[in-house]
Amino acid sequence: MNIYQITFWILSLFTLAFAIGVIMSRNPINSVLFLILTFFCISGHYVLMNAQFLAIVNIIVYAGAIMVLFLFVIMLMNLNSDTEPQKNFLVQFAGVVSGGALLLIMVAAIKSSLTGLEGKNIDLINSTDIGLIKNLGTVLFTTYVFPFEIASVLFLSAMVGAVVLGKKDSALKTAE
Amino acid sequence: MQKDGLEAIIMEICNPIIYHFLRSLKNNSQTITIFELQALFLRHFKKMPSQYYLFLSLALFCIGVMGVLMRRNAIIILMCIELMLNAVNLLLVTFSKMYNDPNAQLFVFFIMVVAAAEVSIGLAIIVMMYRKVHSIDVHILNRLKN
Repeated sequence: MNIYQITFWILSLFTLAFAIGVIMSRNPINSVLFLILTFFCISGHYVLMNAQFLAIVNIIVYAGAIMVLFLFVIMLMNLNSDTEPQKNFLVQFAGVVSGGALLLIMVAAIKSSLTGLEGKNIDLINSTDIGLIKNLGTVLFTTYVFPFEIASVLFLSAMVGAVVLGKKDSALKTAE
Repeated sequence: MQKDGLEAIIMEICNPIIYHFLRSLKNNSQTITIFELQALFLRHFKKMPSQYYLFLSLALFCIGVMGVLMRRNAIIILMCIELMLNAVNLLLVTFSKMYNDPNAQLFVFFIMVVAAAEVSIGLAIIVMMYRKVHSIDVHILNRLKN
């Protein structure tokens, strides 16, 4: 067991524990905080796999922007665990069973079809530089420059859509 | 093939390559000491079997699916979708590391872009519905009219 292995196991443990915390906690704010911790653990996995730029982007975009949006909306609605709607026990049990069955089937399918992957190991010690900004930027602005521009259009439409949807009805009426 | 306890454990947690290496070693020297085992483990664990990352991201994805099926709060359902997207991102980064290919990491970027747009629109819709019906219970929100 070297330090990479130990880091991997600890990070995996925390990732799964925080992810279970997301779906188990009654209070939505606790859920959001658990999700932020999960994202930090996933960023740790990215650093372990030499995707440093993705790790930073993950923290900035997910933990920084998206989760703040979630927290803001939850605090705006003044939700707490008292108003939290609960499914009955049977439906929750069915959800857990079907999720577990999905996990079981996927694990079994991968284990039985691993012939191509058995020799493939992930070299955690010898670092590569494909995750650095220079290489990713080169690929992004040469091969993927058209999807990149499409993504900017997507963002623009999402922004306009969010503003239109978020407007109050009375404001729309007076505008008409 | 008769396998005793230690060998079975090694077979279970290591991949078959190292197991066959152990077998050949055992045929040569008849006995295997704990130091040889330690050396074997060190040699093996320099590299990480990619199955571990596969199973980790599968588990994350299934936790997200469970959350979508279990909860009734619309915001929590959106968060569980984010969890599933992140599981897929982790898998893509794993394959990118495995094959030394930057294209997979670019796909992670685009998934993040789509996720950000999706979340902003989804939260705007949820806020609008909350103004109308004063609830974010998906069982109340499932009517399209009124």
